[in-house]
Amino acid sequence: MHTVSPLMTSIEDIQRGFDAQGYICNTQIATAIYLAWHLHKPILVEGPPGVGKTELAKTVAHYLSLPLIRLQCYEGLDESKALYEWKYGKQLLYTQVLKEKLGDILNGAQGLKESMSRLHNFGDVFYSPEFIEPRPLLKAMQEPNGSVLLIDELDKADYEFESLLLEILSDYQISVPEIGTIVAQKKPIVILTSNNTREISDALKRRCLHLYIPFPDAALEQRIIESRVPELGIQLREQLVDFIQQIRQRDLKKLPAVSETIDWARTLLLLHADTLDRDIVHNTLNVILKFQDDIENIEAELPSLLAKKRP
Amino acid sequence: MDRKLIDFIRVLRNADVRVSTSESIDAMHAATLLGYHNRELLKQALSSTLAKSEAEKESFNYCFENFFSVETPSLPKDSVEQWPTDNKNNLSASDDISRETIGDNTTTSEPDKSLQSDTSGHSPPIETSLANLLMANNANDIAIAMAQAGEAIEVNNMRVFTQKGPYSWRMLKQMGMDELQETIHALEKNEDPAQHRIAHELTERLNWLREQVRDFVEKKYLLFASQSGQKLREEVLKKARLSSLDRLYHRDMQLLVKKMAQKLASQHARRKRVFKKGQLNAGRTIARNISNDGIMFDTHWKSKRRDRPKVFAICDVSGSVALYSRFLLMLLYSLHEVLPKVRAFAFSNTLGEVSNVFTQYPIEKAIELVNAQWSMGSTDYGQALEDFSSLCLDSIDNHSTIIILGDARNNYGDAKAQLLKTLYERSQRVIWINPESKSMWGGGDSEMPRYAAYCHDANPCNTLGQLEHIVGRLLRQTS
Repeated sequence: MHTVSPLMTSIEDIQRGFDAQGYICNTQIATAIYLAWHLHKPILVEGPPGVGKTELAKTVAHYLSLPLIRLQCYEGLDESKALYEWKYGKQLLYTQVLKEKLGDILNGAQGLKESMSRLHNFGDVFYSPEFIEPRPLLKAMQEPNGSVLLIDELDKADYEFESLLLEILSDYQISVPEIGTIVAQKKPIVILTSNNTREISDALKRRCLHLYIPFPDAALEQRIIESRVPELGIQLREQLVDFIQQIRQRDLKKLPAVSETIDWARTLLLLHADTLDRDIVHNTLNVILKFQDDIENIEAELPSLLAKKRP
Repeated sequence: MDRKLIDFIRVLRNADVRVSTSESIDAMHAATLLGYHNRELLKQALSSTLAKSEAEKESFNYCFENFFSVETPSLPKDSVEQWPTDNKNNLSASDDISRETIGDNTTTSEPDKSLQSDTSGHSPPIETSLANLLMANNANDIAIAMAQAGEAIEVNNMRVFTQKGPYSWRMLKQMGMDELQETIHALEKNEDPAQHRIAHELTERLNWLREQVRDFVEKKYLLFASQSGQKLREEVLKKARLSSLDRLYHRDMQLLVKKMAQKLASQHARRKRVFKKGQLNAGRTIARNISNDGIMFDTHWKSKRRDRPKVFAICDVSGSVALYSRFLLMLLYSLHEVLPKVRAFAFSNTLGEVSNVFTQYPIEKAIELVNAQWSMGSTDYGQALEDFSSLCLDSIDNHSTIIILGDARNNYGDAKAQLLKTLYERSQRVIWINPESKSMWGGGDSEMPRYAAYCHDANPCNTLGQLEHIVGRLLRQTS
């Protein structure tokens, strides 16, 4: 078990704590974090881009005052970049030092047998922890006070990389063939995120808790904007969230996410807008929509979209 | 409670949610940690431990709502006023409780006791416990009694729909129907009209209970058993001749094709490269180790890339073959993830490209449209091959796979097999899928033997299973 942390005693506490950090979440998310902490399970977070999956990991790290170690996945990511690597340069230096010392060591040795035993006695550090360069995964295992390990956008990595993660996710340990097994000093909280561009393998899913974060509903989104952009007037905030929620019902190439709503709120604030009118929406639509097709689509519907909001 | 959870996991597995043993253990840990008192919380905890994708979450929600709810049956309305024993307040209050508390029904043990109670039914008119239960008008108690009876006769073991009747009957028996009927019988013999009235009322309520029990069993059947029937049907459908299938099953088939595509895609999406064991990629290794002073620490091995073939699917959409084309196209376009480059062509007497129809519309709709546009006229393979050659002979290279689906019955027209020969020489593979079995090839107006000479692979294929096999082989190809 993790040492009992006063921060993790109840789900409500977590939710309140996250609120204070500016991360507004529903009980579903808080429950998953609570379970992950108490059951020592990694969480696999899925959902459309921009709903705060990465933000969740940052918030957890901040909330627990633990270091956040982040591993961004991409195609071709392999163990030398994710787990550990040998410090080749240092090893080369070491061999050179050894070469110079060789004469001293073998001085007066009788025959091959004695030379070999002397060499053995000299100590074998060529493959030893001193020459290991820890990469994010190993680093997370070595944190003495625990850490939050974020493995971001796992779906971008190759399939083989998932298998590499299995040992870490189930046993919190890494096997280095030359040295042995390195067990985590303190089990980190592992959060994996995926944008669902491909299916994650069953083996990996089996080891994780699964959390699906959808787009927030209007009430939750209002609270998020309130916490993130508190300077924005209530009326404008309601209009804005309403507008975004309506747009999400449309058939668009890319739906605006929460992060885009926040950006838009900030934009409107900067432009000193106090109500959503046609001009301002027309000028700032590119903040929330990222495809020309989408912008044209929505622009044609602007009058009806804006009219609907007025009671 | 653990038993309940195991039952629930069985329900999930039935609903196509894959739950492994370790996940069940996780779920139990989570449930112990959070307790069973908060329904919403339990649902979230189980959802994060058991359902691991969006689709699974959906099935999970459905199963959870149905499984962890004690359905309080609606009481027969008219009788509520007649009986002094009922109290409405109590009823509505207990209704709320039953929604909140999950699995509460295992704690009380009323029917067990009641079954042993005396069955004489002589002097006091309402004696048996079932009669009491029915007369008390407490929907909650009835629900509990039903759940217990269901557990006693192991209603969860039901497998096929014909079992619904016997299980309902056994459940009623378990609840004490026989004694109740005796009581009613005794009451009816009595002279007193008041007793007659009671007998009549009891009969009414027994009938009502029958209905409730039937609904209860039906629900359990849907939860526990309906899927196993579905699985059986899928197995049969996979092996059935496509042409002999009823239209009725087309919906099932579509679902099956989708499942198949998913399976194939997940099998083949994984490996993009095949490593040749033990062959050093010398150039790459030297280049990558320059920074190590030329010492070969970091070795690189030769590999070959798994091919994503360019597929040209040429489908005969006339008459009976149309059905096969339908499933081939459906399968190919469901495989978008692993087969991004599919071009489809449809013909009966003339041929045209239909790829853009598939990119614009959902698959089912696209197939309808293609059939409507191209299925007229008598088949002319010669013309089709000529059209195909003039359309895209230039874009066929040694990464292209051409799949031709048709019965090769050319209505005694010019076969123009030399055109197929050109295609055969230029492309990587030509695969002919023929719905007719091999013994029919070459009979009548079939040109199959002449065409087969210019195919890398000519196979009879008339079931979905065979289709899956052929497409699977296509995906395994390396260049």
